[in-house]
Amino acid sequence: MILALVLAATSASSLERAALEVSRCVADAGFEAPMGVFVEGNSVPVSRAVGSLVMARLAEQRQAPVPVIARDATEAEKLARAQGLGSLLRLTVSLEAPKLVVRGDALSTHVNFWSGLAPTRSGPALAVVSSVDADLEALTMAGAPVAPPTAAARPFDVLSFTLAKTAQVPSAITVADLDGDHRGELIALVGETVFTWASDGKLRNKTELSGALSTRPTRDPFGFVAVNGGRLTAWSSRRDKPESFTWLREGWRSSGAAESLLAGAVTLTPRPGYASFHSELSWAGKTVKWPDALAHISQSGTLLLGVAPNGLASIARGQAPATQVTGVGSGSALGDLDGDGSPEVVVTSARTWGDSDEVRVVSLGAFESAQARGGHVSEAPALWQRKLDGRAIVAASGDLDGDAVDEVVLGVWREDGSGELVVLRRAP
Amino acid sequence: MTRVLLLSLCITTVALAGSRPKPGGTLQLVLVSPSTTVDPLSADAPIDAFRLSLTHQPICRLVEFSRPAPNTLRLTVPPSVDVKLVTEALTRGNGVLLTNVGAWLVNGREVDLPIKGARVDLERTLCHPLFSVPVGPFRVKGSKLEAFDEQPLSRPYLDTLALQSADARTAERLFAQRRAQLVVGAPTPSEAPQLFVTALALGPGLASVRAAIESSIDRADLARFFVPAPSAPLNGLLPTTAAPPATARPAPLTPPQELSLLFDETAEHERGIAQRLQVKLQPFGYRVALKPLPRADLKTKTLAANEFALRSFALPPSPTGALLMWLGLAGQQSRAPAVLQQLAAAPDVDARAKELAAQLGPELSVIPLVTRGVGVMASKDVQHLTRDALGLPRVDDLFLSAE
Repeated sequence: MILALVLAATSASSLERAALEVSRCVADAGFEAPMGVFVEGNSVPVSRAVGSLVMARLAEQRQAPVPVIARDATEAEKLARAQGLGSLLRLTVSLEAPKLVVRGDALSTHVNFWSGLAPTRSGPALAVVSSVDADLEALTMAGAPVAPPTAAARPFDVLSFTLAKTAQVPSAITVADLDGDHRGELIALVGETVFTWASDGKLRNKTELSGALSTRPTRDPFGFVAVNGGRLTAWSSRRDKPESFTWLREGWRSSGAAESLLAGAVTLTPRPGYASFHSELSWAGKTVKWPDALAHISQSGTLLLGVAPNGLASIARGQAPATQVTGVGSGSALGDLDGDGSPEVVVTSARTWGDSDEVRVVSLGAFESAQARGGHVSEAPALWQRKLDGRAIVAASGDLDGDAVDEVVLGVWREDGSGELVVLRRAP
Repeated sequence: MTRVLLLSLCITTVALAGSRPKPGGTLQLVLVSPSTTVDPLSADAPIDAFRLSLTHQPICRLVEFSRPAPNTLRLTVPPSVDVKLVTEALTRGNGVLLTNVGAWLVNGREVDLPIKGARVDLERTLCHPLFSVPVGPFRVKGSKLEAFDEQPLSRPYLDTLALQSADARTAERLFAQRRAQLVVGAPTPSEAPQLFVTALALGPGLASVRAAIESSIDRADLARFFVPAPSAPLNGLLPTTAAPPATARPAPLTPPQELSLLFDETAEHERGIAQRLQVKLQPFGYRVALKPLPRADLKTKTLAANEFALRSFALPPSPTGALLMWLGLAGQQSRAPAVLQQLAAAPDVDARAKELAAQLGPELSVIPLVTRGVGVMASKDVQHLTRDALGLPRVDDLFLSAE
């Protein structure tokens, strides 16, 4: 059964995938049969097709689905009660290119004898959400125009080059414009030293961390660097507390211990002795519990990519993710490589040993689609991919060359114990 | 939606770990016939030294070395380690290995070793198991070993070691049945350094027996037939020494001489070598009586004129330390300062130590025989299995893949 569901999820059309997700959602909730199904949406053919497919799945689950034809969802509930149905599934199908989205709810319509004519509710209820990549079948059915080839549709080619080599493995990296010239500087923590490079690879500054040593360092290099409002927060797992710096006359000036590990809107808490942060993080002042501890995060606008030490990763918007994708390495990042306003996801492999890695660029939609299925990251088609010498363990994105398009920088662990900073940028 | 999540998690394939090493997990570890004690003073066999390394670490790994003055080596002890443990370890090893080192001074978390005269390569010498302190990667908890979070090198990747001892056949069976992920002490070949040696120490006045032994004993045969793999012949004081030229056979003694060959009663390989020597020396007119002794008694025994003894011990991972160890075994500690002086004057200390080893070999009343190492069998999910300077597997550095 599980295998069948997996095969169905991976090989089916977007309409079928959406129907499968909806039917899974209500499968074990304990709704009483027969189940009424009411479907509405901005495209009648698409809504009808999704409704039919959902009912087929429900029939497989012995829910005895009955179509409920009504003007709206409120009337559908009344009709379901009048027809003596045990439960009702109300769905709204919309094509929000490039997504096919199904929203709705499921409720018990069982009428309690003692409540008389009052339409009291009892029994289970469920919110239903499904979002999948709309394929050509769904677009055609909706009559949506197929986008003509444009400049943005040109092959996605990425150039990579080594910006700098380091004697040790970089434990944290970030990109920030320190001098206001709209070209980002690359800041990396290597050992106990914060290195700052200009976008042309010229080393601009080296600053040693100070402060008390940690009694519980990590075994492999691990740390944190982020620039917020012109102030750098740097922390190495070999140190007890993070340190704050200000960029002044071509150098970082320490302003003492920092209170927290703040990166944009996210505040992280390290786990002593482990190369990861606590799963509980503060995001825009709100406490969010990630499914796992976090080995690495990357932000783009309101999106947050979190990668756990076990290769599970999620992209979330302001709240904890409900699903995760597997097989993601900690050297992954969000970055708008093509300048279209929507970030791509640069993903490295989850390989833990060896001298090579694989870096892939996937679209945000493809990644989120794989995430919604709880699938492997390789299910998301790559826009571009290549083999990497060494293993990327950290990554950051930002505009290094001032062209208003992001570059992604990977911090690579070479097999000889040295490090390398590899820049990825879209080919002009 | 929660149900969707649960179902999705149910059907996902097992995830690989992130590209950083994956922490956590329990390793099923089988040791092939270790001794029951965990004591730096008796970690002479590779498997015992390995068992010691699970709960102890040598000073050289724990402290930070510096030279505040040319004649002082400063050991800065990390906050999580009791300074007293370090000084106790120094006291334990305060014999020939600390030649030319005066009484140490403790100042807070710093231990200053005053160096009197020439002294090279002291830092590497402190990697010998004798200098181990009980601040290891794991701590005993019930029947298991648990990761020690507070140790200065950081906690190991693994959470727990489920440790058991077995003979070689049982260990092999457990491994084949996937009930063991790592077998240490397995009779498998290894390319790692082999610094655990077995040698003959000759009693006073027994120099004449050397020619009989050198001409009759094939060290490669000893290593192949009497010492569990991985093992190798030890042709000189240092493991890399080439085989010496054949020695002329001396004439048989008349009348025959009575000798006693002492060996560790718990060391099977010593018993086998002793029996071989007994047989090989018979034609030369030596009637050898075999005398097994408890290991502790053997270590403190002063050899009589008609006695020679098999001794097994670990060499420090530096040629200088190894030379000092041999001088101590031969009872010639008095020559150590002169040897150190010669090494200090050399531009390449290790190369000079090898030359000195070749010179000293025939002069010392010891006959190196074989070296031993540790064989390892590891399952596919055991990743990043490295070895330390003594050639012992480093369990604190390995992690389990999720494959």
